[in-house]
Amino acid sequence: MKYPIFSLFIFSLFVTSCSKKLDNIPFNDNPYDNDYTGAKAIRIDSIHNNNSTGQNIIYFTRLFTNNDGVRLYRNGVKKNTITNSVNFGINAISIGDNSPTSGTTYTYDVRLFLGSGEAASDPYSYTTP
Amino acid sequence: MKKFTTGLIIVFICFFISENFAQIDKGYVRLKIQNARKPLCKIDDSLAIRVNDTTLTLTPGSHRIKIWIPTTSLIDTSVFVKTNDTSQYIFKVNYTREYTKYLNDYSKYRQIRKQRWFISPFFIIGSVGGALMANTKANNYVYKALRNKEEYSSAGSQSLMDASEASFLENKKKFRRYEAIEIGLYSVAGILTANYIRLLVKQHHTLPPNYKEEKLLSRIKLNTYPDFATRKLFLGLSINF
Repeated sequence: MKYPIFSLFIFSLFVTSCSKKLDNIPFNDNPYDNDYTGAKAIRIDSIHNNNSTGQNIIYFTRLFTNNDGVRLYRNGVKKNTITNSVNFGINAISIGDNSPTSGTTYTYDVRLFLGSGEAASDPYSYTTP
Repeated sequence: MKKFTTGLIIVFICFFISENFAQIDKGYVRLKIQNARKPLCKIDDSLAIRVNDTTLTLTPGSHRIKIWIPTTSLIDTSVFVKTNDTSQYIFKVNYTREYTKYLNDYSKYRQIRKQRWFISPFFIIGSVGGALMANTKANNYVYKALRNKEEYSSAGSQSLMDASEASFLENKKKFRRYEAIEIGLYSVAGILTANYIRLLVKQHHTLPPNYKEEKLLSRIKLNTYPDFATRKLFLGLSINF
């Protein structure tokens, strides 16, 4: 009697191993995850220089809604931060670099942030006129 | 007178001797039969009586005794009867092989028909109950795992995401385990149910053993004894065994 019951449980383990429940649930679809392999959560659309203020205005599009705000990095150094709660309305799609040097080419990237996590866009090179 | 007296004495002696010689010697035999209720007993193939514990008066000497009743083996033996003495014989009657087999089969039949299987339904209910509990547990772990996924999706820090993923994998493992238990218990319940139904069908279809009992009357024979001297025909009954 022992062996049939043992065989039965082996069989049931085999059946459950074929079960697809909880399978195919990815754990690499959070853009703040180091393992993230999906599309970028934010992208720089264009950069323009404001002639009157001298600012470089970076226009971007957020593709991931879960975030606390956006940070601007210039050559890998954080230059500006805007948060959702304070001054980052739903229609705000730009962030400014206040101190660009004329004629210098910078590599910008914007990063969504949530707590301590960041999701960066592709770098975008721009030469300040 | 003397002659007369002598004659009387001689007549008395002769009468006394003849009386003594004419007296029939008797002996007694006590027959005790075990293991059967009043079987038939034949003595010297002539007398058939029902005995259980009987004392018979017989002539001294050897007598052939047959003891039989339907469903038993024939006892065919001799007893020796002493003059004015009681011999005791105890016979144990044995059932025939066929009748013994019939008794065994009937006992098994009764056992099967009377048997009530309480344990199987108990285990079936237990298995189904256990499977339902395992199902509840498994669903609980699915819910927890999906919550881990939600936590992962809404997390910003890497440590929180890693913790959520680890917790998800742990909950998934536990879900699989309880799912295996659930399927195993349902399978056990299924097997037990099938076996229970098989037992009930078997019980229902079990037929009583058949034994064709030999009737006592079948042994009785009608005998005819033609007496040519008187030109008469005598009839008699006898039991053959």
